[in-house]
Formats: sequence, structure tokens, C-alpha cells
Amino acid sequence: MKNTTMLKGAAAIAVGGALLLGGGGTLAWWNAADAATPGTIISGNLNVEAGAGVWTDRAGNTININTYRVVPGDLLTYSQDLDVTLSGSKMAANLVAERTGAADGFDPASVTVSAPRLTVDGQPIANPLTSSQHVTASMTFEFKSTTAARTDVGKSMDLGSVAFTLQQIQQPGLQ
Amino acid sequence: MRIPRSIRTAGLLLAAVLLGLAAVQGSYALWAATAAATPGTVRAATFTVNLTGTASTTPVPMTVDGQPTTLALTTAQAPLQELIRGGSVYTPLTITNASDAGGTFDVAVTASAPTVSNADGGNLAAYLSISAARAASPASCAVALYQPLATGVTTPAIAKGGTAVLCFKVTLDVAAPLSVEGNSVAISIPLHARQQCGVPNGCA
Repeated sequence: MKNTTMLKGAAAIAVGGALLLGGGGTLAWWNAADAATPGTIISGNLNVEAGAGVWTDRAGNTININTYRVVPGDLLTYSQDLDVTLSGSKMAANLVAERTGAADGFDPASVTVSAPRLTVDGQPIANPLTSSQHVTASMTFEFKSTTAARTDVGKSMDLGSVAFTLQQIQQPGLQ
Repeated sequence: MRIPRSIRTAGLLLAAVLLGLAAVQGSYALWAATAAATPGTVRAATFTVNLTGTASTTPVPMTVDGQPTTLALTTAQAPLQELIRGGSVYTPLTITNASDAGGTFDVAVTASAPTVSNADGGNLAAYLSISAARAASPASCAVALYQPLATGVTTPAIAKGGTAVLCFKVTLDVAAPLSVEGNSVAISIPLHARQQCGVPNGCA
């Protein structure tokens, strides 16, 4: 019985102490509080959009490729505007152009088709790009004036599709 | 050799991640965007030059299926059998540049040395001279300035859709003997059409 009384007393003391700690306030330990505002994270942007392509002849006159018929000596240029959007503190991307799916009915010795060329203000682009730019893509078709006899009269050439790919890369030294 | 379970588990997880990445076509490779252009189809023009003689008003193309054609001509002012010593007969030929080229496309046609063949065992060919001239129209062949065909006679540049006229004249030598009377010949004049440097800087 005596032990029981002692146990009851100890339990009462423990409950009282817990209440003091949990209630906060009267127990005299130091406390401090503060707040941080990490802010808003905003992502950048990467995009490439192609405008309408234009064909011009050697003199720079616009032509309709659907109705125009080439003859030896013709040099036609296809130009396409590309709006490249790049934003981001560490943004960098490579822009490349690749022509695929062409079907050529001409004698290869009679014509020359250039690879797509990407320029800004007339100068070749320097990959990687790090900011938004207005890029001009161009390619040429030349029907050589050395074509003899009636070679390639009435022939046609499907120039296929040109894909412009803007691929983000990690800038060297910026991780 | 027994592979520890932890390594096997890691291997399976890696394979699953790789398969997952492959299945979504490389979305792990940072941002990317694409745009496409379709330049279209470039088509070559036809190289069509039509000939119209006095015998017919129907134009005849110089080539059909890539092979040269033949146009029969008759003389304009008199049948050939009525040709007299020192006299001439002539015939006009109208040449049309009928190409569908998109840009400038000038051609010139050259008539070169003829082939004259005697018919019926005669000897008339030796006493004939054949010449040609540029003319403003078929009606002006009588007053055109003729040149021998041996060195060729060439039209001016004929623009796309334009025409030019060549006149051919056959003259019987004043010294032709009576033995050629009633003889006949077949005269064949080759014509060659060539593209000119009408395309700006095209022949540079």
C-alpha cells in the first residue's frame, strides 16, 4: 500500500510537469522565430516558328514555284524566316536544319541544290544561340547553264521537307 | 557466380528507367522544338519551238518526243518547175518560241547548209543556189537581204511567245543547160534552235 501511494505521487508530479512544458509559457527557456520567402521560380522559353517561305529568281524577283518553269541558267533561292525564342538565365540551344524526302527527276549533272543555310543579318549563325533571334533559312536551286541539248526538258524535282530543330544544350561552365 | 540481390535489383531499376525514357522519345534530353518547311517542287520548262510554213497555217513543233520533225514548204510566188534561168523562188518560214519557261527565255534558230538531191536522174542540183534571209514578215520575203546558207543564217533572239521569220530563196544559174529542163530536186534545210543567254547572268 505504501508503494502504491508513492507511485501515485510520482505520477501526479510527472503529469504536472508535462502540462507545464506543453502549455508553453511559464517554463523559462529561450525561443525565437523567423520566416523566409524563397520567392517565385519562373521557367524560361524555347521555341522556333517558321514563317512563310518565299522563292525568288536570280534577279531577286518573287516567283510562284507552283507555276514557274525553270530553264538552264536559272538560279532560284528559297528563303524562310524563323523566329527563335530563347529565354532563361542559362539558356543555350543549337539550331540545325536538315532537308529530307527529296525526289529528283533531273540529271544530277544538270542541277545543284544547296544545303539549307541559316543566317542572321546575312551572317551564318553561331551555335549555340543564347537569346531570341530572327533567323533566315535559305537554299538554292541552280539549273546549270552548261546543260546541253534538250536535257531535263519538262522534268521536276520535289525538294522534300526541311526540318529546323532547336535543341537546348547545357552551356559549358554553367551547371 | 551468384549475383547479390541488391545488384540485381539496381540493374532491373536501371533497365526500367532506360526503357521508360526510350518509350517517351527522349524527353530527358532538355528542351527541344522543331519547325518544318516544304519548299515545293521545281519544274523544268518545255523547249518548244514551232514552225509554220506557207503550205499550212498549222504550227509544227521542231521536236516531238525528242525527235526532230520535218516541215514541207512550197514556194510563195511560183511553182518550182516554172523556175527560169537567173530567176528565183522563195518561201517564208515563221518560227515561234512557245516555251512555258517561268522567266526570260530567248531562243535563236539557225538554218545551215542545205542538202540538195536530184530526182529522176537529173542534174538540176548543180545549177541551184539556196540562200536565206531574216524578214520582218512572210510578206517581205521578196525584198529581204539574202545570204548564202553555207555559213548559216540565224534569226534574231526570239523572246518567249515571240516569232521570227526566215525566208529561203532558190535561184537557178543563168548558165543552166537545157538538159535540166523539167528536172526536180529535193532540198532539205536543217534548223537548230538554241537557248540564248536570256536568263540574267545565266551564261556567266
